[in-house]
Amino acid sequence: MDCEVVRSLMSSYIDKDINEIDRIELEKHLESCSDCMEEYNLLLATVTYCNQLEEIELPETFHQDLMGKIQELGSNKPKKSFFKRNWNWVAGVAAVFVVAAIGLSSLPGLPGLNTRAKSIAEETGRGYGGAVAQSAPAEAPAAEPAARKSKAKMEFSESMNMASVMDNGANYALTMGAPEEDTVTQEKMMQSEAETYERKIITSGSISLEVTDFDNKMESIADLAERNGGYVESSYVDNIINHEADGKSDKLKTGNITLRLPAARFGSAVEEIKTMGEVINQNTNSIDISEQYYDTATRIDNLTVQENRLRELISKAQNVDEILKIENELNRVRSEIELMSTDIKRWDKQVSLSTLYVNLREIKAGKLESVNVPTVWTKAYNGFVGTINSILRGGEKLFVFIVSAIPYLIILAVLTVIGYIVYKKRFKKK
Amino acid sequence: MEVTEKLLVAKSKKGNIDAFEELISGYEKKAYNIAYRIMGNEEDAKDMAQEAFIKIYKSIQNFREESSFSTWLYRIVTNVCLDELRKRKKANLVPLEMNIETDKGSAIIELSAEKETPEDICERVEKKELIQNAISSLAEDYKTVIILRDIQGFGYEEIATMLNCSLGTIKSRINRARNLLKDKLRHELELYEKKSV
Repeated sequence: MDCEVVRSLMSSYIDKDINEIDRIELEKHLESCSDCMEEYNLLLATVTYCNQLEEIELPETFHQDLMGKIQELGSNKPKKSFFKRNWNWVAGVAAVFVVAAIGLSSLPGLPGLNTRAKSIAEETGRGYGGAVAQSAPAEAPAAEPAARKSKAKMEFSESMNMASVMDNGANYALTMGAPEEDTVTQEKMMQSEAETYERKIITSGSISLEVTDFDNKMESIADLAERNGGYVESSYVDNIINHEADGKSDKLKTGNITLRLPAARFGSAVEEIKTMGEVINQNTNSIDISEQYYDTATRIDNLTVQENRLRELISKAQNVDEILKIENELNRVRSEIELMSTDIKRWDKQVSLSTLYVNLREIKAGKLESVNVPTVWTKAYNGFVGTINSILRGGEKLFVFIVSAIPYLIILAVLTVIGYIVYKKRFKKK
Repeated sequence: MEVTEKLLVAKSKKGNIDAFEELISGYEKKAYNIAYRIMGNEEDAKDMAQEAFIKIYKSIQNFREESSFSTWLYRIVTNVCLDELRKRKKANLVPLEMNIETDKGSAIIELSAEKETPEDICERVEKKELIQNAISSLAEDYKTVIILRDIQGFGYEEIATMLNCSLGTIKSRINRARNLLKDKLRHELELYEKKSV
């Protein structure tokens, strides 16, 4: 056993977490090597001092304060004060709903006030023309459900995303695995000899694109991977049927493809893929695994030394019992080495080949522009057209209402006249 | 997990504050001590430990009972403290009292004023503070394992669960942390050895 191995085992030795053979070897070494012995004593002293640090007492008010805070928290929660507190809130929401409902029925379709109007405004903006909404009020309701459907779907998925994001936030503190950034900064501050060896960094990234010619792009991405000396790890294509607002439906493809690219080419490949379509989102991140990597590598070295020693020992073994014992130990060491070597291999592969997830979504050729974020002017234009439309439709409704109310008005007029006459006659008599 | 504890956890999940109080009563001191070692002073320790317990109360629903309650609890305590330290590092806040030279230790002296000669106290406090300062100056990962392993005396596996790392990582981290700490304390310890021999 050389000094390096001894020093790496010292800590386990102090914790008595060491196998028999190593223990004997280590003790033998310590007896003969005064440097290591000194180091060992120092380490032991360090650990002992830490052990001896006394527990400090809780502050007297700790428990009281804590329970006070929790009680407060608990009383803010539902149950007890539900009837007292939450009614205001509920009433407020209800009031908003009532106002919204009234507004909805009395202001038929002022843009922005309700989703229905919005979807109509969008439709007009997309070039269905005011004519549809204007001349065919009967047709509009038919189109609406479809539009609303797709809208609702979108909102649903949005809220799903929100929920998962919030979930992440909430769990962040609970799951010990600190987010990658933190690990990276942690690693950066390590004042160990880290700087002298090559950093092991795993890079990965993802891109989401909207494209018009799905199959072509899928192929050229796969091609790009091969050109750059990488390969396609997996790919997946899905046909989805998209219900349009006008009742038509067409098939659009979505798919994703996972690429493995040489780390050096990663950046340029990302740039190239970004030019292939409309980038919806993109991210890259890197994890520094240097510490784990070199730790594992050292442990493999140590274990290999141990393995060789065991092999030597086995040739000197005197009896079956000894052989079995050593073989057992040898097995353990062997399997540990193998486990860690696979780790190293996996890491090597991850470090040398970055992973890139590409998400592709097909969209119809003509729609590429309408997907763009509308400018202030187009928004204003849409709003203007929408308002005009809704005024026209409002006028129309008013007209329909008045016309359909004519029978009532006649009856009302007749009754009024009769009433007036009767009243006048009585008044005269008096 | 013990049966009674399981029962208490179940009750706490339903929002029973009394059950929660009973549940945590045994862990407060240790949690406070972990916080104290990580934060380096009592005031922060109290704040952080309380924050952690409040978090535990709020999120006990999420406790999936895969590990023991105590492991989960200490894990949150550690996390809350480390998060706070990270936040401070970003905001460049200086903690209230730590890493300042050894001549101030009044807060700690008051704690254990048994009958000792002033020199004894002085030496003991000094040594304690040296160690606490050395631990505080370690990087986050190393500080945490030293506190959990050598001060609080948790087992390897428990620490691995708490920190969500593999056993191997924990072992090598403890090994490295101890060696770093040893190197930091080398000078002081050598002096001390001479004195005590």
